[in-house]
Amino acid sequence: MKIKIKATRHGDLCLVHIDQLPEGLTLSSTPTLMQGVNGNNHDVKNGTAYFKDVDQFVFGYLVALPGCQLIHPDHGSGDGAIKTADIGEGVYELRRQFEHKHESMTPVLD
Amino acid sequence: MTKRIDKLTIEQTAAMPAFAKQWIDIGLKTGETDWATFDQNMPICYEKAGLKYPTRVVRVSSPLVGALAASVAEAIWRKRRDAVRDAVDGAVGGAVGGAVDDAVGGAVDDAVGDAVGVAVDGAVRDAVDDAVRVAVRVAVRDAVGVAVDGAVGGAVDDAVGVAVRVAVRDAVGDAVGVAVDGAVRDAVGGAVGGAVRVAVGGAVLSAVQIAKKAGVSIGWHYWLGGQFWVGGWWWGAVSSVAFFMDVCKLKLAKDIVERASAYRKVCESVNYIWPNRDFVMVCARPTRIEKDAEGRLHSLSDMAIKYPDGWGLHYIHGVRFEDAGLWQSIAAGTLSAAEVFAIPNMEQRRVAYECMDKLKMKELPNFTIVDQVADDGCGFPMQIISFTLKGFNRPFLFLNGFCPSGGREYFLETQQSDCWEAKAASFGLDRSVEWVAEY
Repeated sequence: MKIKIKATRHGDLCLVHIDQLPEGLTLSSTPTLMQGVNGNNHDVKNGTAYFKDVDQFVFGYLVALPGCQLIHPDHGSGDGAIKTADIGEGVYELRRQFEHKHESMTPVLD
Repeated sequence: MTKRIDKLTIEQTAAMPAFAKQWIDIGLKTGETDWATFDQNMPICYEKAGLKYPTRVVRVSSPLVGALAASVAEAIWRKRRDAVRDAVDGAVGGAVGGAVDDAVGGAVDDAVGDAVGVAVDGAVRDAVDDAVRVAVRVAVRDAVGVAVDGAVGGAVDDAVGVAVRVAVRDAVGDAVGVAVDGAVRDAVGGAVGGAVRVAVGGAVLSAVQIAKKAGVSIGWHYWLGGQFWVGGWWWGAVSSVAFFMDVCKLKLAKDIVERASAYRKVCESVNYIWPNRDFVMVCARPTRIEKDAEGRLHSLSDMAIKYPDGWGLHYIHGVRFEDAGLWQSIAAGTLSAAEVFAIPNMEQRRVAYECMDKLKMKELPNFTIVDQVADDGCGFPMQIISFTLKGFNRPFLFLNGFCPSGGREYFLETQQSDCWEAKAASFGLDRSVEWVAEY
């Protein structure tokens, strides 16, 4: 039986829940998971990121610790200029959104 | 006066929103720059750091000029001395922060930080400072990087323009000119005074080339955010410290009060600051900051943020447009629907569509709705629209959806004719994916 993929979407960033972290990754010190071309960062609080370009879409992994939140000006809840999105504890694959152009696939410029 | 605060009174708590508003207004202030207050108080910050205040204090009219000029000037001076940001930070920020921490209970500090600091920081730094900082940093990196490689691309000419070049030249000259001595003077020679100031026209390129010849590597020069950092960040939250001192009447040591007061006045008086051991560059306030109802930089009539020398940034609902022509076309409503959908940047396309007269959609040849979903799981509809354009043998397909957080409508080009497939495929997933949460 095929296991259903569970995903959390955060604008043009997608977190796919996986069982465990792949081996051989290097811990990143930055809280920024992804940066939009307009300067809007997808930052993480209470989480650790590991960057590795796996394929066109997967560019890294996130270990979400208790109280993990993603921080972004547009995506999440809250009335202020910065919004927060609660992320459940666990391990996630980080995926970037692409736009399928007439000619080719291009990263979403968000 | 209070020497320690472990709990806020009801009155103090109630005062937080108005206090935050007051500091947001300070952070977003435009118009006249209070140079006199800056000139009085910045030396105190240096003095508190145990540093001699430089004689060269250079006023610049935009952060781009300041960032370029400070980077170049700093690179030349770096031969002998390091930038002093960290020392000033430690002496003022560390001491003030430590003193406040010692005097205020953690819970109270957190409460004020959340209510005042975060509010101010969110309204000022996140909305405005980030926009300027990213734009300037990219421009400087591009200018310096390209120049060091031996050729200046169009980005510098286009973005900086003649006015900026001249201003950079003058600022660099003022900061490093006549007093350049020792190793720097030997290495740079008359180039600074002669070539940078007078003989060389394109200041950015020329200054960088001179520095390169002198074996000086150009890097990013750290800056302070001035009014844009009153909500927090480096040196701690000025607004939070002010709350403890003004509203809670917290009594701190005289030396600490002097440090806090000096830095507060600096932040209240000017925009960005580039502190250096050998020079200080300081930027004038913006002449204009326009935001939409959601607090995002936005203007359809002029630059959303503009500085006295004319440098600024075009924004529509928080989305930046480096191409002023495109911004103007959107603002004037002259783009056709086909032109809107041809905008490569999805965010720019989104706000262009937002501004577009929706009747223009009927102009799209063979416009059809291929698939529709009443509820995307977040209460918004989704649809796949299709239209043809001359010169293309296949119809265009766009997934039309809404951001679950803010309800912003967007169009994402796709090759799928099914909404769920299109959404999943944009992340390299198949239709069976379960969306457990969306923001």
